Amino acid sequence: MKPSFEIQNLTKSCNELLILSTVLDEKKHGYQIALEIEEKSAGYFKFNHGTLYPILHKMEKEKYIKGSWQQEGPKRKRKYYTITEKGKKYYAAQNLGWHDFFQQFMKLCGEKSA
Amino acid sequence: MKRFVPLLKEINEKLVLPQPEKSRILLEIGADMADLFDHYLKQGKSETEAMQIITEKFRVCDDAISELIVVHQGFIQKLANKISRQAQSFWEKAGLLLFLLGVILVCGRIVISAQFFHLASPYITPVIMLALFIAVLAFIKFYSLYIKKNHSIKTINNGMKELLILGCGCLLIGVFGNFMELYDTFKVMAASPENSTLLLFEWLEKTAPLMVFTLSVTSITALLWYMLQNKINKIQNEELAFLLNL
Repeated sequence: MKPSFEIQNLTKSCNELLILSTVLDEKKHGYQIALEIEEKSAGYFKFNHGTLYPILHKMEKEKYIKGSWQQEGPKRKRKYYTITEKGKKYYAAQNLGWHDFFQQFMKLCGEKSA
Repeated sequence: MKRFVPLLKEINEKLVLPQPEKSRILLEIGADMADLFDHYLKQGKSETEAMQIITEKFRVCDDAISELIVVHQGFIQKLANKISRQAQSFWEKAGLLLFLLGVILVCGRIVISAQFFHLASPYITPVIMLALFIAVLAFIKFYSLYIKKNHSIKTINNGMKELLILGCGCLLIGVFGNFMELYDTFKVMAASPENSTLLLFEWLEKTAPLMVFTLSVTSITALLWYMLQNKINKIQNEELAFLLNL
C-alpha cells in the first residue's frame, strides 16, 4: 500500500493537516490557529509563528484555505482564514493517508516494542 | 501596537518583497501579536512575561523569511513595482502629468476628427472598445482612490493588472491589424502590380490612424497605471509607517 503523501514530506503534511483541522469548522486568525493547536495538544504540537505564516500563505496560494481581510474598528484590519472546498478534499485525503501510515507504522514498530 | 515595533521592523528589513505584499504580511503579524499579547494578559501573565512569549514565538528565522518571499513573489507584481518605483520626485510626477495632458490633447484632436475614423482600418474598432474599457476602469479606480478614498487593503490593488492587460491588448490588436492590412495589400498588389504605389498609399492611409490611436491608448494606459500605482504605493507606505511608527 502506497501512502497518499510522500514520506519525505511528513512534516509538511503534518503541519498542513493540523492547520486545516483547526479551520475546518470556523474562520480563525493566524495566532488562533497556532494557539488552538498548542492548547488542544496540551503543548505536544507547538507552532512558532515565524514558521506558521509561510505555511499559511503557501496553503492560501494553493487554495486549500482562503484568507480574508476584515475591518475591525477605524484603523484595524484583521485577516481570517477559512477552509476551501479544495482544502476539505485535501484534508480528507491527507487524513486517510496518515491513518494508513500509522497502521503500517504500528504494524512494524508497534509489534516489536510490545 | 508600538511595543511590537522592533519585532516588526526586524521582519520588515528581512522581507525583500514589494511594499504592498510586505505591508499586508506585517499588518497580519502585527495584529496577531497584539491579540496574542492580550490573550496572555487575560491568562494572568504580566506585560513583561507576555512580551517575552511574543518575542519568542514571533521570531522569524531566515528560512521562514525565504519561504515567505518565495510564496509572495509574483512576476507581474515584481515587474510592476520595479517600474513604479522609478520616478518618485515631484518634478518627475509633474513632468509625467504634463506629458499625459499633452498626449490626451493631441489624441483627442485626432480622434474627434471624422476623417480619422473614416480612413482608419476596421481593426480600430476593437481598439476603441478596449480604450473605452480602460477609460471606465481608470475612472472607477481614480474615483475609488482619490474621491471615495476607499483604501481597503483587500481591494486597493483591484483592477491594476487588468489595466495593464487591456493596454497590452490594445497594442497587440493594433500591431496585428497593421500586419493583416499589409498582408491584404500585398495580396492585391500581387494580382495588379501596376497599382502598387496606390495600394501602398492606401495601406498607409488605413494603418497610420490605427497605429497612432493604438500607441496613444497604450501610452495613456501606461501613464494612468503608473499614476494609480504610485498612489497605491503611497497609501501602503503610509499604512506601513503607521504600523511601524516610522
